[in-house]
Amino acid sequence: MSSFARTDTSILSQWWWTVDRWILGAAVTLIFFGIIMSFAASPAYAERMGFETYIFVRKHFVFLPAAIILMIGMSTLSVRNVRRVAVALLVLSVLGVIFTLLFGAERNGAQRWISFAGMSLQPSEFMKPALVIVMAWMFAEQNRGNGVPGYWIACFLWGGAALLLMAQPDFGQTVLITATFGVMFFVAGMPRILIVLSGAVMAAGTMLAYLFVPHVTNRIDRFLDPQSGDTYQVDKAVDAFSIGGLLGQGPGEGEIKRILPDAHTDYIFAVVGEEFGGIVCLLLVGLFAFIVLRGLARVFVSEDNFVQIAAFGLIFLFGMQAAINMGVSLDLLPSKGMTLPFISYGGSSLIAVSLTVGMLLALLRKRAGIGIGGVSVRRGE
Amino acid sequence: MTATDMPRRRVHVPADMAGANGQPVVTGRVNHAIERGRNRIIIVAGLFLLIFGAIAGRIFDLALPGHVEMARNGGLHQPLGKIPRADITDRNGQVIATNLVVATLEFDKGEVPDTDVALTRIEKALPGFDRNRAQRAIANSGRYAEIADRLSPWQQQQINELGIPGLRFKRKLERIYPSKELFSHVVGYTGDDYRGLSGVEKTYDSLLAAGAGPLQLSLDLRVQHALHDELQKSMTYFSAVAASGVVLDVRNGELLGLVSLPDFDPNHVQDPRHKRYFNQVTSGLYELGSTFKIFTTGMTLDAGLAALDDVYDATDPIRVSRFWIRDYHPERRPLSVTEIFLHSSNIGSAKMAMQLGARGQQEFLSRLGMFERLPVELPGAMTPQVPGSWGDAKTMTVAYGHGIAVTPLHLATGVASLVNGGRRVHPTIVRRMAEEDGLGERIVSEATSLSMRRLMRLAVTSKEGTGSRADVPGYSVGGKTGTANKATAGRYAKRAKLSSFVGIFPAEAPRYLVFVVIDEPQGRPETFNYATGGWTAAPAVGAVINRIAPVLGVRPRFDDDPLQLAAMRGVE
Repeated sequence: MSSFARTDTSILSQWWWTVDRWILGAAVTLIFFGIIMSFAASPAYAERMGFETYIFVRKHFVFLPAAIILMIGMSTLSVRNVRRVAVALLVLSVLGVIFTLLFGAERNGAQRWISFAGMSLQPSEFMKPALVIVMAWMFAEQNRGNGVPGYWIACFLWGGAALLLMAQPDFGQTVLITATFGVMFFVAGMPRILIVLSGAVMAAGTMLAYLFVPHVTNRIDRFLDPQSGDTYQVDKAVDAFSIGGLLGQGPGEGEIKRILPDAHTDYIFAVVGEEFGGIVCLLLVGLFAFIVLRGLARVFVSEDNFVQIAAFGLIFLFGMQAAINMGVSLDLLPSKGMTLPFISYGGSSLIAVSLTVGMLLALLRKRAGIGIGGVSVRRGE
Repeated sequence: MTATDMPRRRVHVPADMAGANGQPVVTGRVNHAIERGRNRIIIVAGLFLLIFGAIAGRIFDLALPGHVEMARNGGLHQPLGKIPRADITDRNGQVIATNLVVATLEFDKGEVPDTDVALTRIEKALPGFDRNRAQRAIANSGRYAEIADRLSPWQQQQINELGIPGLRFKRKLERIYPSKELFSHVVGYTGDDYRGLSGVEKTYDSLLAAGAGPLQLSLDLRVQHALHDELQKSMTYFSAVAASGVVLDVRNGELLGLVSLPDFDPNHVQDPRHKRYFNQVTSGLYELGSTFKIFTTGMTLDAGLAALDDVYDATDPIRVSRFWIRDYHPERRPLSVTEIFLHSSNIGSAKMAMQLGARGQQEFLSRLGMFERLPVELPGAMTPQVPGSWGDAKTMTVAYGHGIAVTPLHLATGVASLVNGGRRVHPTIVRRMAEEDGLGERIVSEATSLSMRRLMRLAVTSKEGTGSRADVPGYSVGGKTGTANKATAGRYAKRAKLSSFVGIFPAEAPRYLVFVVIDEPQGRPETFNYATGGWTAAPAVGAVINRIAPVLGVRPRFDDDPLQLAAMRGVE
């Protein structure tokens, strides 16, 4: 890598010297761990579904280079191009989600998927990072004070996305984008009266969902009172960590992947716990925490309000998704149905997360003279 | 600058509006926003630290040892190598309690296409499948229902061959008692948490849970089976409400058999309050009646107050305050000690006890262990009910086994202590190591013990004796009958009897004692409507001895019995 001299102005060289190599390294480490876990968890699933054993492993290998290229490609973008890509992606993914509602294939009681040419795509995965960036743009515009009612537009975008996700229905993702929206608004400058109010609304909303959405009632009941219903999956997941101990049963020696229907996605962390043990789990937590905290530290020194809000939103989205997935496997949270970034099997998930981290890396790149980001994005205009 | 400096609400400000210092207001506003954002980011970063910290803590909590056993027993994994609970065996190593990995059939509502069709097919594949129970289980549980348990590998194969999706097997460890009810009250049972709840399972719970080598009991499966079988037959034959019995090694206190009927199958414990879960042998307190005369005779002989041919006047009943002491088969004449024993005279026994006095009687019974809880290794062993004030009336009634309530095991060990040469027997259900003999202090002299053996043998062989139906040719059985009127609600019932017989063999040098108690037997035409110990319990004891003596290696001897010897020759 030393062949890139700092004075070299080629795109690749410039990228290498400006990108956050620590976050990039952590993300690539996670991607490679994801490969190992796809070997561990997905063959059991493939066999259960009657497919050829390694079909999902091979699919993972197809997605892998695409994911890495996409992540690095996105990270070379300028801040303005990140925004452009995000706007385009938001439009496409919203259309995609609407399409799934009209024509999508139903899986596990939800319409989230578009199938074409033997591939299936989950547009809502791509909607999340796009939404974050466009909302951040709107927040920053209002903060500039040049007449754009950015807060209202952001609210409208969030509300629309939440409605679409609820229609699927995808309660977990709705919670995730709502939390992301709320915390972004908070960082962007939510008035304190609104902070209190939104806290109250959130509590009320959760209550209402609990009372009137049977699916949600069921899941929360099971979490609060394990006797009230079937906690089979999470019980087995918790057992898996205990059986794995600190050092694990050894790769491929786990049982839970044969028992749990969602072991390769929602409960992949339990598979890691059983086969690789608590220490590897802690390393994984450490990698996620590292990306989140280093990302936040970089955001902290950003001089650009848009970069600040957007990068913060992406980090929150990424970190929360990881935390919720791990929390569910460990029975700290009620069952949500969320993938573990980079680790869970799923093409859409992997590509979308790579996109998220790619855009994050683009936003966090050092820019000449002004730390990272740069107030002067719009200087030319 | 902190968030508190910030204006509460953003109002629209034209972009070209300039501040006093000439800086564009836009920049100032944005700087404000960035600064406030930084403060709030710190809060969120702190939140993330907490969340990831909680996750890491939880991983440690689960992955550190301690949870593992629980999870394993939960059934995700088969137990690896380690046996979780020790086996229990009889004295010859026959398994009484062990652990088996059993398969439970799990029904996945989400996957089975058609519940009714599936159940019909399972019903056909599994004879004895309880469809109604399965339907209830499916209706009452969530997605997964357990619809059949303890499936053998063959049955699992039958299910697999049906090819119904959504039927799975869950494997778990279960405590299994292969002899079913045979050892019920001795071995006890375990609960769902695999801890012992009664019997030896409870007494030795921690030892068994530690999973060391098997626990070897003193019981002998063959003896237990013979005792169980004969008691069962007698109970049915005499329409009795209950029956119990023991086989005891008089030389070291080892119990070779212990049966209490009705009993239960420890594999399927239902309602532990039901009377079938009650162990009459160690927990039942009874006024056992005439078998107590063995003690009265023993204490009188040993105190040197009388010899076997000394005579007591049993002509007239004795009046004690409001009631009379009478004989069941009155002889209305003076009787020798031997005759009192053979005819089971209440009057004679009462007079012998009065001669010794309340003090001497209590002291003797106390040494024999009649006032204390026996050290047998079973939960719920009872302390006898002893009269509070022990006047003349008590002295006389206790002499023939009324007014004092003891467990059948008290009686058996007491008799064993008199006939085994005179040393106190401490009963046990765990196999003794060879070196310890289980004998305690001296109760009576060797000479008294010998007299008692002769008396008991005579009670079986002589024409006057009441125990002739217990005799087994070749094994020289000795014994004593007992027939007590059951005390219920403070008075003695005329009809309800507790009939018993205590037998020893071989009488000249006893090795084993067999005690049988039959609760409320009804007389039969074949017994001339008698339901006394001699007619009900004595034949049962004889039948048990007939079956167990060869098994226990006791050699039959005919040389002291010319008639028997001749009979044997005739057969040859």
